[in-house]
Amino acid sequence: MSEETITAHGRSGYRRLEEISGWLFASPWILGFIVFTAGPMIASAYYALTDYNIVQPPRWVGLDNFALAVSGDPLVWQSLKVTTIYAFVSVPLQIVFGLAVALLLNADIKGLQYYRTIYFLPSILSGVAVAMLWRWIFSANYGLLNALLALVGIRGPAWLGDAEWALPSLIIMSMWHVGGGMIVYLAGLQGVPTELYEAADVDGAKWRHKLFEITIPMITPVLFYQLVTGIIQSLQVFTQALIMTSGGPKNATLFFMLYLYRNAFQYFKMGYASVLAWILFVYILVLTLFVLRSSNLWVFYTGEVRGK
Amino acid sequence: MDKKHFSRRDFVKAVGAVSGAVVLAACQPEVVKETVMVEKEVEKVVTQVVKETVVIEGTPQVVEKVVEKVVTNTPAPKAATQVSFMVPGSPNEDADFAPVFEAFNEMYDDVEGIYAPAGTGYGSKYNDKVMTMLAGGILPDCFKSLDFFGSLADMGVYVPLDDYIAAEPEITQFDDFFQAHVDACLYKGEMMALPNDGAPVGYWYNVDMFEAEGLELPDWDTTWSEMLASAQEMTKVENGLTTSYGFGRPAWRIWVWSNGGLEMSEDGSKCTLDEPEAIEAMQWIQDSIVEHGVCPGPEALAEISQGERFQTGKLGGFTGARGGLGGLRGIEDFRFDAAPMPKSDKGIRMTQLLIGWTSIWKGSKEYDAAYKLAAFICSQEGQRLRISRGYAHPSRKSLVEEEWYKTYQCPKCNSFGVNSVFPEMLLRGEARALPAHKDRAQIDQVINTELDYLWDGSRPAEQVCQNIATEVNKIVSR
Repeated sequence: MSEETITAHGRSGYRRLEEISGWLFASPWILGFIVFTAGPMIASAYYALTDYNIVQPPRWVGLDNFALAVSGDPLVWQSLKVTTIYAFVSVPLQIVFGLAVALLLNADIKGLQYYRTIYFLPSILSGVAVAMLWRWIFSANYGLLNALLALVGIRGPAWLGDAEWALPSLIIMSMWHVGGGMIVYLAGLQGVPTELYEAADVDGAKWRHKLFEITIPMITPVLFYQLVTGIIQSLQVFTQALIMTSGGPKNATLFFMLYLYRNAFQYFKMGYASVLAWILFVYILVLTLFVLRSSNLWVFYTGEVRGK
Repeated sequence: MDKKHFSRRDFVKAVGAVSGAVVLAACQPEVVKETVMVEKEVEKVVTQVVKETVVIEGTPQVVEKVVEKVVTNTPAPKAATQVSFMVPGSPNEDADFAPVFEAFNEMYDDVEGIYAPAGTGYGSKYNDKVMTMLAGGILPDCFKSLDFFGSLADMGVYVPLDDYIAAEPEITQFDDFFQAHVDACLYKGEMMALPNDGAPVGYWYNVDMFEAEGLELPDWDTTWSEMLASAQEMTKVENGLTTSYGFGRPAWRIWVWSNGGLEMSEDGSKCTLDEPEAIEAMQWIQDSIVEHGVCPGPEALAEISQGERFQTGKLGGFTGARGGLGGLRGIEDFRFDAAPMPKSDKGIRMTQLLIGWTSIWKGSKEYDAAYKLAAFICSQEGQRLRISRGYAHPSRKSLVEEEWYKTYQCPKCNSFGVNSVFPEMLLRGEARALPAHKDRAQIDQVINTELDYLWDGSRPAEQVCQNIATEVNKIVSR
């Protein structure tokens, strides 16, 4: 065997070893994905075509569950409507407020790290304690919010007890978590080249010109990330509705995930719940793809050159 | 790999390989080897040399004799069959059940009862845990059902107990159960559980509030009209804000039943809330909230529950079971008592029995042993050991006659009412449990959603009831 052949054999053997090593390193994640994600997805696709109550074997019903969800169950559309309104209002608000706080904190001032911590702290608190806190804030007669409104002569609504204001209450409550986005925006703002601002100063640009012509375009990748993850998370909201309103009053806060949970674990209709899960999956996928496709129009990456 | 040098890269590769192997190994199904020890009685002949003193020619002498004996090798006693029992669990509940299991394990040599609390407390988390364990096939042998009794019975989760009840009369003591409790454990004519406790809903009232207004205290003859009149005296409004209400929002089922109506037909195939008796009862409740203002509406209840209002002396009365003593016994600022549920103006009183079901899981491998445990938990002794420590209500007629039940006292409570009205309603046949239905959860959700329109007065009772009947009939007809 020639020296070249031996060398070629040695190189391909090394590459094979590298390939095997790569698969071995990735194997824990791959196995986890198969067992905990792909497997259940395939199972739910099957159960969606059955009448399945967990206890007894699934009974094949074909597309009956889909037909019921699409045309025979008004609560599906009600819950989709509630969830969509929540997502389309809360996500932009969280982006705007998060960015606003980040812009305020993106300054060289004394004690900045403490301010950042204070704004970030609420976003790491969750659970029943936070839900109880907000119930007090939204209390019609004794709550903080209505007390502040009363100072300016406004009689506040019943908030969580009023079908018209229950959903806006939960949207307001979602602002509690702007601290998480603020951290991401701060990181993005740190990446904006300062020479752009210097050049703008030389040209006599005012703060609003710098904000809308430099800052925001430069952080559009961050905004894009927050928009996509915000949409995905907000369409899966569940805990707040379960703990604070139980979907009421009058189904005003019946989120899609809550309705899915009820069908699965209270009505024992796992097959129907599987259909709802797939509907939500497709809905989130379509919205996410739409945002992804639209990103060509408004997301700018550093160093990117676009054809004229 | 270079044999002379084990680099960091090699180390990382090795770790990755080992991790992958561990994950693969962990995915293997567990192989459980079961060793069955069989003990048999064995007879064998044993030869022994025995020294014996005999007298030979007048002289005692020690003589050795060979003796053959048949010895039976009795096997060691078999290990007791283990059966487990699950309840939601809490520090108080765990302490209440401890003596029960101690007594059970002393009573039976061949069965060992294991107390296995879920640790979730009462509420939806317990139901979630039951469902999760059911899906995983790992439910305990016996467990307490909170909700979904009808659904689980319809799905064949429970073991029917009729044969066991007939075969084990001594440990079941069936005739000692209140009839209402027995009826609550039936599903399609079969006993699917034994009742381990359960109280009818009574009327807790603030004695001081009644006396401050010079009102007669509620008793066995109190009607809805009298209850409303009292409530109007006790309701106080200051600066447009109601600072105290006459009574809490009545349990609507009790009102419908007491007015001669029913929620569902007897066979559960039709909703009957659109019938005149039910509509009239619902209208009465709506009027008490919206027109008379003696009862807190949804806005007020969203802020402070009626239990909290009562405990702070801001509510003249509310409906609740005897178990409410757990929270009420801490009241120090006013006297309170329990009264029977008021009668409707038609003279009917039919209150709701809130019950705890103890059932055996169909997937248990030890039905006989599980029944012994379930029966003991629900027995006179089992309930006495547990309930005498707390505030639950026995499901047995004999226990409400015992001193520990009849003489309960708390500082601000008139113990006469507390210790008599609940069992008396049962004995009079004025209590019934919600009939088990396989779609109970979905039916209740539809009803509760539509009732939001009743409580705030945005729809009249007739429209609400008709909407409920329409939606519920769709569910039960599927």
